[in-house]
Amino acid sequence: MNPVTSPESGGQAVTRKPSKLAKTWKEYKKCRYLFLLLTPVLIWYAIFAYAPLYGIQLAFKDFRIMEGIWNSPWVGFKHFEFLFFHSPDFFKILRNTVVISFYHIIFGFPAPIILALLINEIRFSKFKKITQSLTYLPHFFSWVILSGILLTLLSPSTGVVNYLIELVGLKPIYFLGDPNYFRFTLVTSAIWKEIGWGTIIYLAALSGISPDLYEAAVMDGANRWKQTLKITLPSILPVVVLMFILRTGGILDAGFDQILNLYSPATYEVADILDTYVYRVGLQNFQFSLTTAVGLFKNLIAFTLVLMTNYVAKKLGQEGLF
Amino acid sequence: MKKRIGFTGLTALMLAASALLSGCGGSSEESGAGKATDTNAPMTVTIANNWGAPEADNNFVQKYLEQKFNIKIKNVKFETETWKEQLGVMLASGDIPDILAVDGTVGDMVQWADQGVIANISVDEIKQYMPKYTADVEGVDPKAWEAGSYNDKNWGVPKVWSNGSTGFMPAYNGQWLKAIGYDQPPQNLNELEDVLTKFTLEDPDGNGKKDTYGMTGRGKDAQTQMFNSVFAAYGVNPYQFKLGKDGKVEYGAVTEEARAALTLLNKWYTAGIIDPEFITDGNGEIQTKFISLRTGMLDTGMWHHLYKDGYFGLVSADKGIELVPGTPVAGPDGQKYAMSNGALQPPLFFGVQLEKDEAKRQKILEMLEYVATDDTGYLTTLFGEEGQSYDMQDGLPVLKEGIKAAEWGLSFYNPFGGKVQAMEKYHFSPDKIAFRDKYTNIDGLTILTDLMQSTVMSTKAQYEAILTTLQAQYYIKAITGEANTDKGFDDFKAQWLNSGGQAELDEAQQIYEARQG
Amino acid sequence: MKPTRGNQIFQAVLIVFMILLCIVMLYPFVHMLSISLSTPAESLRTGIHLYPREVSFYAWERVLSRSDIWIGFGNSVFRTVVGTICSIVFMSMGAYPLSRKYLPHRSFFTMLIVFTMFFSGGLIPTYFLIKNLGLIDTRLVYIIPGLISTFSMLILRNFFQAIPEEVEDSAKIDGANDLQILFRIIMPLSLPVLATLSLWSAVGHWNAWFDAVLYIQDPAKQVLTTFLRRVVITGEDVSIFSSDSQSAVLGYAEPIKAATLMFTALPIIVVYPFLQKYFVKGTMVGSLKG
Repeated sequence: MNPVTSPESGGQAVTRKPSKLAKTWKEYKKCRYLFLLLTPVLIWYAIFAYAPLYGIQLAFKDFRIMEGIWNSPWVGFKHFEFLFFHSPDFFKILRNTVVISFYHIIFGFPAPIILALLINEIRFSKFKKITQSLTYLPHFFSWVILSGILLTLLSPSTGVVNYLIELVGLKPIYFLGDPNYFRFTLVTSAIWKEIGWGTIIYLAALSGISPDLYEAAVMDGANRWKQTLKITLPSILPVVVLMFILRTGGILDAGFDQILNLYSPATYEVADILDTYVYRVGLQNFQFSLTTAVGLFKNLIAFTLVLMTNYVAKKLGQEGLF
Repeated sequence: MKKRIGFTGLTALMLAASALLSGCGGSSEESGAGKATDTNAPMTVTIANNWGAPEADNNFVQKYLEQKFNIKIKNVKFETETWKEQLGVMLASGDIPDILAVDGTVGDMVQWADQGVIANISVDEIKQYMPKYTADVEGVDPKAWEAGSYNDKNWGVPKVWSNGSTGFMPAYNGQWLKAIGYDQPPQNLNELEDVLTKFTLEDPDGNGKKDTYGMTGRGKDAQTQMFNSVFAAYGVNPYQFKLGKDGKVEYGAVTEEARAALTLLNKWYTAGIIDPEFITDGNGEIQTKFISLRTGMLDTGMWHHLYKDGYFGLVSADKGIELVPGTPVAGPDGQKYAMSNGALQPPLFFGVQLEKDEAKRQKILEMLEYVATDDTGYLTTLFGEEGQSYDMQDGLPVLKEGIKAAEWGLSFYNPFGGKVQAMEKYHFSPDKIAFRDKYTNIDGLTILTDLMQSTVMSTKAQYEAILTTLQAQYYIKAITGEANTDKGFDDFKAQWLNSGGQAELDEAQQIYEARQG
Repeated sequence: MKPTRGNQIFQAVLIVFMILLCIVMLYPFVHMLSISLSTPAESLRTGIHLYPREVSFYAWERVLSRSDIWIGFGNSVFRTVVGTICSIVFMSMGAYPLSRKYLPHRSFFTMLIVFTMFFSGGLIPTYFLIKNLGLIDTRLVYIIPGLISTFSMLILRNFFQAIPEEVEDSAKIDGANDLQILFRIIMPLSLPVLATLSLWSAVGHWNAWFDAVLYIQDPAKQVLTTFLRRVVITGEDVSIFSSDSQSAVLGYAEPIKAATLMFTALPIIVVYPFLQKYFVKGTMVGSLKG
């Protein structure tokens, strides 16, 4: 970091020391073109992101539609209590959410990176392009559509996947009906749907690596594996770290659409997550307040996690979010 | 101060903008549409519906009704699935439609009534302005007004769907029945078991492979329908309240009848005559498996699904399968029962502003009477203009080729389409009616309906989602043998009662006794 | 570079693996295409659908002959093209200052923006806002409220940050101001990431439906996804008033759904291959040297 222009901790210092104030003003003036660019963006945020924030109070109110948000009565933590203590299974549901989400992160997060590296290794550029264009296709089908297709492909009696499993001499597996395999099925099918789409950002990062670096490495006698380890990975690491920090914010999002379309009572015990539970409970009512409360709960945790990962990443010498 | 403009100024700007805009949001001055000041000018009626959204305003049906009743109609088009969100933001901004033709439940009604969204209208007034319609509705179900009654007031015009009371009926693959030596569908549980066994073991499709099952069940999405024919044979619907032999209100899930049905289903599952993949089957899979000659029996259809143009009938015919409707099979007590959802539906709601606007209220009721019970009114709102958008063929209106309902505004303005007994003649051909009568008028058949159908229960709003989940999970396990039906059932029953079931039963008992007394 | 024997084997294995992967990935597409061209009975057959055993074009004829699908198509193209361009420009304007390490209070501004990823006011305040701004039933509602994706902007910021400072310094010596640097130097150097974000934005616009449902009543301004939802979720074509003449439609429920879906998905799927030229290795460095 450049010590001369370091403003990182200036925010608080400014108000106390007038001498610094003049300096700050100078810095702002120096950056006037940057602020010319930034101001419209900040105004957009003020209007579309900050102005509606007063709606958060609904989490602590009983929304009375005719009286509006401001005039609805306060109820304190009633909705949170309902969420945490109403269902005998709440902590099981929370655990399911975190466990499934955790699997999505440890298996689903690296998958597109690996695929991007592999695609990057293909030497025939036509084939490379076709592979990219085909692997991202499943992204364009919603889970409503894919669930029907998966049911056919994964059927223990007629599905092609189990046909292959039986060819190898194993017993067929009821991927969608057996609680022991259901989470595996969720994670695998999510990878199937999103892996190709996920590679795109990494391919963009890979295309920024200078060929000079590889040439130098070849001179030093590095083979492809070493080149990947020594050049490719470090080059895309900043993007990977950024994506990872942002991904940790999704710890309580375990894939509502996917689960809603794939689960059944037989697999509730391993797959019922926060969102599906609220969906079933909320169906009864006009639950604006409950939904707001759930959203607030999820986002507080997400925000905390992101701050934590960001802190760790910076400690490890990586570029963080802020 | 001036020097900090860049930093503090921006923050202040953002806060100011926030306050400004949020201030606007908090107070909404606009009220429901249509406060006609000039008495001669046509009053504006706002109609909201989450079905049949017209493609454009001022379509044929809209203009027809506007002229006929000297009104101005404002269309509020909701999407079928997200209408609750749409209505929510609309209500929050102070606009309440006059006619609220949405798929609201009784629970919604209670909430809307409590929050002052919908109008209460006296039964007498509705009867006065809609005499023919109310007579029709009461003819289908004398309890028709119950669904709309809450806090001793009436919250809308009752709606019934007479088909709902005919019940679910089993149907079989005709060719398969012949192949195993049955010339008529099974009549009782033992015969049904025999048929399902032979469908599984005797290669009814003659392809030389063991790739068939007796039936599958709706285990994935609508558990109320899952193996309903078997539960019905024991005289129970596991998701409904019923009156026990001792005069006490019971809930189907935890009755001895349900235990017996589960035991039998487990026996069938173990014997391999029901498709083990029923766990992940919805109605679409049930249809697909029947058409693909994997299963030979269905029980998630009502008569109109089985008729030649119905959900199961049409594709079976297309595939060359003879779909043979059966009768509900007799159970251990020798009686025949069929599960049904009942005819009662939540009523048609009105915006609260109508409570104070007598002229508009009466105008609307008159218009509804017209579209529901007058032949011209009914046909015009649902089919358009004879010769232009539809032709009468053998007494049935048939839309002309290329006519789009949305372009003409069909069905949007008539919340009673298909729900008026006297207008049935325009929907069902004599052949179809004959089909219905043949398969639904069965001697000694008892239709199972919910004792608490369309009844407002506060405990239900609180516990239903949790109890249903509990039940659905146990039922699947009991059938597949993962849980047993002796102690396992007792445990389930205890847990069900503890998790709010007892509270539901108590309230149901109270309501029942109040009705009797 | 002369490929070694080990490299050749690696390439062979890689290609076989990729071909298998592509087959797996291609399946849902082939499946839906096949269903859309099937007769009713064929569409309901269990098992794999690679091609229709009994072909029918009825579903496609029915879908393509509707006028509203073309209106929706036009509006979808509009929001995708205009929305994506506006988003990219706006996000670049935000990302560039935030990527400069010497920007005063950079952390604070970044925090301000990151905060909005996690906290939002919800449905009702947003609706009031849109209403008060007079955006209800206008096509602007497709563009303005979704102008910025914070997620994308943060990624863009990191890519801008990775561009060596010398590039900026040398431009400043030549007398360029920040605006010129951004539009003439930084953005052209960032084509791969801009292509990625454009693709994200375009696909997001193309698939968006909730804003259209909530804010648009006028059918002339509806987008393709609302139409798709009507057909796929509610099977609207199949009304309860179906008389015998309409039963053909009823039987074709699945093929019609599939055809509508393919019609909706195809235009956006073909966008990517056109963007691929920006992903060629060394784009950035190449232009730097030139």
